[in-house]
Amino acid sequence: MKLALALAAGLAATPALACGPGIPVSADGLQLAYRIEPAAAVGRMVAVEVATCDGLALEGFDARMPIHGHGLNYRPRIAATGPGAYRIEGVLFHMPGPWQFVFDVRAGETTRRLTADLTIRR
Amino acid sequence: MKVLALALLALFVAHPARAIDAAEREAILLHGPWPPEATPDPSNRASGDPAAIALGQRLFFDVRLSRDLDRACASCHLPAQAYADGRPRGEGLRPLDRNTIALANLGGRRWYGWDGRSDSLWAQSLHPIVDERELAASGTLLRDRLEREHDAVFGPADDDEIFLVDIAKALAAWQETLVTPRSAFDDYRDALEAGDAAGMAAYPVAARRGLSLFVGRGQCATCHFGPSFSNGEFDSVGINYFLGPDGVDRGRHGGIAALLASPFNLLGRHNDDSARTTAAPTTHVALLHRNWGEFRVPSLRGVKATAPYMHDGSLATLAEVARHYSEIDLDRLHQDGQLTLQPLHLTEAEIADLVAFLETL
Repeated sequence: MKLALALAAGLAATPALACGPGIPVSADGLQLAYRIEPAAAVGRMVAVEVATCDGLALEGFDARMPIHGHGLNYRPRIAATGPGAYRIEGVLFHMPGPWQFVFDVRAGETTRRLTADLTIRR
Repeated sequence: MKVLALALLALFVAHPARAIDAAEREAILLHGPWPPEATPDPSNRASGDPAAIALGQRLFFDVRLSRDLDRACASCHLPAQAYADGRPRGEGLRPLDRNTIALANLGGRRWYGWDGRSDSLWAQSLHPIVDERELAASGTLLRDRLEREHDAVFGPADDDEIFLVDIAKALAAWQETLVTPRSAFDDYRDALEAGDAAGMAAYPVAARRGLSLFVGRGQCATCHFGPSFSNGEFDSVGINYFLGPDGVDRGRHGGIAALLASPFNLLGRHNDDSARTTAAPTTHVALLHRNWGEFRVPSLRGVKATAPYMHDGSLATLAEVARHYSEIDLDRLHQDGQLTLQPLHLTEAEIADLVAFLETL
């Protein structure tokens, strides 16, 4: 049960990408990994650490609840912390249930969007 | 294995209302344990200080906090009515626009007030003192009247504004101690966690059915989340927010604007915590169009004693509240895609069950 809860909150140890630790997200050959610190919980302000692969630049981030049609009540801020490394401050899940992370990354001349589904249960 | 099977069996047969599956059990357990551990507010150096708590308690009932020496905090926050007043809307020196919020379980919240215009309990406690419709006093006035009591706890204040904030911090230190006691629900919840069939059986059958509605089909726990039965945020739930023919109560939209303009928010000089430990929500809060007409998701602890309900006190009883959500008019929700709220079309028996549950909190 504990393992299932941890997985649901996006916290479990997952296979690391070459570009950084965390939960891998990929689409069309683009990759990044993220992890949430401290453990995600309803009403707790957390940070999202992002490691991008292949020189991708993280340009935007959002979190939303697609089934409810709303996003965060807070405006996260992205700060670069190293080559391909970013820390997003100000993420607060205000409801339990299915959320979606949205990462906008710069790939060459274009901006591409990667999404990751996660469930906040407690 | 046999022990596990017996425990599971006990869960299913312990109560005549209905069986409990794993998902419902988990949803119920999320509403405890209670009471929470008391933790001092780092933004308030008076928090947890016995002398400041005693001063705050005395001042709460002291008319010297009002300009005309005729009103106190306790004039509207009546101890015999869970520190609310039983009226639809508050009555200060002039009529107010919103229901007087009951005072309990206030420590550790992100936001205070129906619109969350304060990010600390001490900042929220300051508003009624200076509001011209309420106590209509000022830091200068309070300093003239209360300097001896103040200085005995805080030492001399550098200016009138600091003096005013200190008085509010003493009031907050005392209000933090107002915690609703353990309830019949807490006993049931803890018995469920412990697998105590006899303890679970002591919970009223109707309340148990209402609890299932609350965490299940009703989706009430999506917002009324956790041990305090609130996610600490704001929502639009189809309650009128117009004030007469010409006015409108902006709700959370106005609250965020007031918060960010306030010299008393946690980003300002009156925060006693140089690390700004609790200021992150203020730093990141977003002012959104959908905040119009949103109001606090109130805690439901002790809710039986705090009628009438909603931000404007427009619903007199818990049954009216249940009927409001049961038949909610989606056309009155001005947000796009707020799919959490859907008409439930509860029967009168189900409404009675929901009320029976709420009355056990």
